[in-house]
Amino acid sequence: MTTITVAEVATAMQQAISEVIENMAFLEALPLSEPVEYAPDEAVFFTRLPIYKPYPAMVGLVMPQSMALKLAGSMMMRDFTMEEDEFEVMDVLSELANMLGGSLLTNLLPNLDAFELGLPECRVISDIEGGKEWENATPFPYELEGEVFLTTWSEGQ
Amino acid sequence: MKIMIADDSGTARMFIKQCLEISIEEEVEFMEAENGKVALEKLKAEPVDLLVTDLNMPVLDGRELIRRIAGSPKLHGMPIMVITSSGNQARKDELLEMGAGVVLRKPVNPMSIGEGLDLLAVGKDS
Repeated sequence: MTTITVAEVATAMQQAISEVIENMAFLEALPLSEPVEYAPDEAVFFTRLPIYKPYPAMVGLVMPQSMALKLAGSMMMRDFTMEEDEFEVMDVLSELANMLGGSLLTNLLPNLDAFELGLPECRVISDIEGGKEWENATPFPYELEGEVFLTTWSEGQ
Repeated sequence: MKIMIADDSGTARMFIKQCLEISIEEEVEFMEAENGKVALEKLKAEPVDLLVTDLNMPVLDGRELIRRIAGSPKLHGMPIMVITSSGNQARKDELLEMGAGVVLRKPVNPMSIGEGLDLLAVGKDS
């Protein structure tokens, strides 16, 4: 099994975020170099994408609701609201996580034989309780339009 | 012309449809399916000029969909464009061997889809 360092994941994640967010939403997400205590004052969408091959891993996307609505609106070119569009926003985030996972693995392991991704899952978390949902994962914070979101990476499932 | 888009994400289907509309000069009738099983049923009832499919779908995935189309006397030879997040070189080679005409890696845009259509010789007035 290939040994992957956190620094390598961080670099590949940044490339993947740049490719996916800029291509799909025409927005720029910048990595935060300093660790952050992630505590948004609103509910978040938590999207997870399992990776089955070359070995079990998980990619996560943690995004405040207001940012997710803006991102979905930018991608689909219309206004989104939680009341009317919650499931569509989940579909947007699931598709983003899917692309993010594929791009991440392509950047991380360019000489890899075919890899295998699972189906993404997305849900709303009202109280993130210090990030218990992703406490065993490595977080990578990004700034988008003045707000912060996380991507996460963990090996094993 | 008729195009089937098979992808479990409504977001992806809409985005791909927009890219195709930009890239294709003639009028297009779109059919959609949320998985390979639904796509296969619709294609057997009404063959199309181009199938655009994801790989990672529930119920019946894109790889199995391509395999079944290749084995169907009615559908064999239908132009197939795969648009997937799992599109590295090894996977592309495998899918091309199975019967896909073009394999594109997500995220796509109108330009990459247009180049794929050129390779398939689909959707361009001669």
